[in-house]
Amino acid sequence: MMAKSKNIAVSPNEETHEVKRRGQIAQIWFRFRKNKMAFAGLIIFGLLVLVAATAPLYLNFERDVIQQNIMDRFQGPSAEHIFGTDQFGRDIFKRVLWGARVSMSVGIGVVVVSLGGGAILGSISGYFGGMLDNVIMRICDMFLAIPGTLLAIALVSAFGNSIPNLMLALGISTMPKMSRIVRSSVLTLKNQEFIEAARSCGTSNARIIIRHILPNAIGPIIVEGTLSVARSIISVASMSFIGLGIQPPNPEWGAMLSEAKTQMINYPYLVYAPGISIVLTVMSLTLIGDGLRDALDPKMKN
Amino acid sequence: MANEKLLEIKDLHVVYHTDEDDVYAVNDLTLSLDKGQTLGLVGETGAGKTTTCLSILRLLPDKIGEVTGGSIRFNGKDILGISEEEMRDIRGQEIAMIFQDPMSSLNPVYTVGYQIAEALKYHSTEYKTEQEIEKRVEEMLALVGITPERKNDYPHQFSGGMKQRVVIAMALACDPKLLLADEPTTALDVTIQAQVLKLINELKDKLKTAVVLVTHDLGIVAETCDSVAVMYAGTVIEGGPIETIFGGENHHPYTVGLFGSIPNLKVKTKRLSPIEGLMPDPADLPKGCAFSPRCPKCMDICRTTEPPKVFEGEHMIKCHLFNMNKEVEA
Amino acid sequence: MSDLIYTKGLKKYFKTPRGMLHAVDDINLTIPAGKTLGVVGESGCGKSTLGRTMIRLIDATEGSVMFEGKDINTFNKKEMKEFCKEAQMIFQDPYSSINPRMSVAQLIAEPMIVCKTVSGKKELEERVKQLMDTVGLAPRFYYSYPHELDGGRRQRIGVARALALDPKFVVCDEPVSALDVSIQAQILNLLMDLQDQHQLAYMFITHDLSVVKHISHRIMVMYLGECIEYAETDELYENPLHPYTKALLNAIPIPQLGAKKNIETISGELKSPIEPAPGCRFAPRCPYAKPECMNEKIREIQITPTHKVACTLYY
Repeated sequence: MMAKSKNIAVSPNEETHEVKRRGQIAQIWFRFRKNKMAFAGLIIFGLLVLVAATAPLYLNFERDVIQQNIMDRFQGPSAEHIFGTDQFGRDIFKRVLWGARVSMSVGIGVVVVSLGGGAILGSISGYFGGMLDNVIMRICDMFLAIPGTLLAIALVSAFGNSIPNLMLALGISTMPKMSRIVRSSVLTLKNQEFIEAARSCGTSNARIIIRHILPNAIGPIIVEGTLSVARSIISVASMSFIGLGIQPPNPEWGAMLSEAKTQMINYPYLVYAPGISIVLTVMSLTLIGDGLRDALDPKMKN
Repeated sequence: MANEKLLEIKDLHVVYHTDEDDVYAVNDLTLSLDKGQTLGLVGETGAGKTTTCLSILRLLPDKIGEVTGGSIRFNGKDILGISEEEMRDIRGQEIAMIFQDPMSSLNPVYTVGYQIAEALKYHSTEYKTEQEIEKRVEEMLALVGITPERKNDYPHQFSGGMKQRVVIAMALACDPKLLLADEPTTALDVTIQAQVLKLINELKDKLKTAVVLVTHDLGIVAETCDSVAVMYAGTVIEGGPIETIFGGENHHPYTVGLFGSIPNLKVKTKRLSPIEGLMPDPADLPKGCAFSPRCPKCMDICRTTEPPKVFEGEHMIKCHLFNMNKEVEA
Repeated sequence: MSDLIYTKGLKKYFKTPRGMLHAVDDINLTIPAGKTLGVVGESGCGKSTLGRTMIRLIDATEGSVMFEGKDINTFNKKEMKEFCKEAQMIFQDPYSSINPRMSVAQLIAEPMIVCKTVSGKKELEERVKQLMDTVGLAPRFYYSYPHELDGGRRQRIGVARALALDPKFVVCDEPVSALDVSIQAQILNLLMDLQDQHQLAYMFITHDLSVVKHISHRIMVMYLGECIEYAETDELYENPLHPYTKALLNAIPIPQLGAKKNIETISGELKSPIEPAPGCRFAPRCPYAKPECMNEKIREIQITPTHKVACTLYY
């Protein structure tokens, strides 16, 4: 009557449905898409990127972005100038659109540099420990002791003033913090039994870090990464302010915001466009980050 | 005195409401315990043992756990009907609970003496003044085999077994009538476990406290309990005085399976005879008898109809096998 | 009969701020092919450390582990990789010993990918399915993740991983102590069947004397890093000699009525294995301790050809 199953008993509502499922990336995408907020974030971010990438198609840099019209200065929002004009009579909205190119690429570039470097340094120092850990962490401490902006200024002056160097400098100055975050999650993971289990079948250290440790440490890394995009957009502004970042009259969100700050009491509308843009970018990235963190975790299946 | 009921649970149902499902943790559970007796509550992970204990104390997680039916009477009082204030008086003073992990039951920043005194200050009506409490703390430590001088030590200065002794001392400080012990020795080594079990046995005789001992180890039950309730999927499937469970002819197939799963020290067996399969998902219990999918003696009726409780004196078996024909060989 | 693996004076000390911790101290054991050695002891006695030194997950401080006549502590990287295929380990906790981010198939395939024992995706898939069948995991779990499975099934993944490379020797570190009794019996039966089919040698580490009796051919009892009794299984249970072994046996609750009502216990608890005093490490708890127990290193006494005990009572 009861079929004697081999070792595993059959639960009553068990069907032997065929072994077929989506691949791993498709599964992650499937879980991500189910998260409405994250998907909304992805759409917003996609639009922002689209606007930035296609700006030269609908704007003329000379005429729309940098040409000064003293007659039109400090005009409030109107049909002609949606977000008004600045002290040189330039259309703020158009400048923001163009500025997206620089701000978004620098913001994300900085995070990629600091995240990449931080992940490598942090996981090496956490995983191997001992002398190596000490050396890496003490160097990080030295860098942490210098204010981030100061360090970036020093680095840009040393490397020369260009946008890639700016990204590199800001990335390096936030790397120590990132390394510490990665290191602390590696430390808690490295004593788990599954790391030992991996080692017992001869898995190399590099594979253990990449396949076993980093996927399990991804949560805090993603959260920190998305939040620091905003910080780096602002940092670019302070670099620009002392003449090391983006040179005027080139538009850039952070710089526009800090310029607007001085006039905010008389002309509050100046901060709207760059402010909203930064908020939108950061918000969409945070939503994507949260969604990604959950989608990468197989426990959040349904 | 002899047969006075201390705790009576009738047809208890407990449901946990989670985001996706309703989890039926305890289903139609009936238990009773006399004063001064020890009841062993046996079952595997997820059988509803701990939930039962928490419902007795009314400590089910707020808004998630809900008693949906039945009654719990303690000392003649309807526990489910009284106010939260009255309940707080009962907790700690009349019913105490000790947990599996002694490390998490003690606060690491206070001395053990302070923590026992704390329990007395809040719950006891008997020990009021500073000196009385002080004396009681020393008395309790001595009772569980710790020299009273150690009352000023911190939990980390004690080993696992010693910590569990402190926890027991704390639980018994107010002279509770009922002690709920949830796997009190699972986290301990065998020789230490033996020490703690011996202590519980001695204290039981000395203080006449009734004990509900939750465990998965039938050996511990045999050595400490007066009666047993075997739980499966939230209900008692076999229960009665200890002699009827460890002796006698008729047993529930699950009980038989549990005994078959334990390697016996005295008898050489080539192969163990485990119960095939797994505990059912309490959010999706099978129809009829919850054990039927794993039961080697499953009949058609088992899959459709819930089995009745068949009594043989005080021995209860909840199984169709014994309903129709008592002569059928088990 | 050739011994598959044996140790000579194996020691593992750890440096701690309070001195040297003697986790494994002068252990000599042999395991023939296809047999099981049970290692029994309470928490902190060094049995897990011993298991890990046996497959060189940690390096020994002194002494040697000889596998098929070669000392594994002298192996270089390449030889170690070969050795990995011969000696595997099953871990205690089925919850923390498998990577929660990998699917069942990935988990079982990993040892074979790392050691490159299979060629091609197709063969790998075949082999994974075959292993799942061997350990009793239904094919529908192929793409499942660990959190969807219960402890027993997770432990079956652990067993499948250990078997993936066709080893000759498997260290089982408390493989059933985290499982429910009925599941425990399923896994024990599985391990014993696999031993018969594949001629595996096991080192079975546990604190549970009833489990170890069931599965072992020979048993070693450890106390604070030292082997205190070493015997054939039947001999040990019929005639335990060391006072600690007797106490351990006595402490097991037996699921029978009236088996023994007066529980006899030994007092005290495990001392720390840091810088232990010379002499018998069990002496402070031993009811038969004599002055000479405290002074010198205790010799091992050969009682019968298959039964050794380290205790002054038998001098």
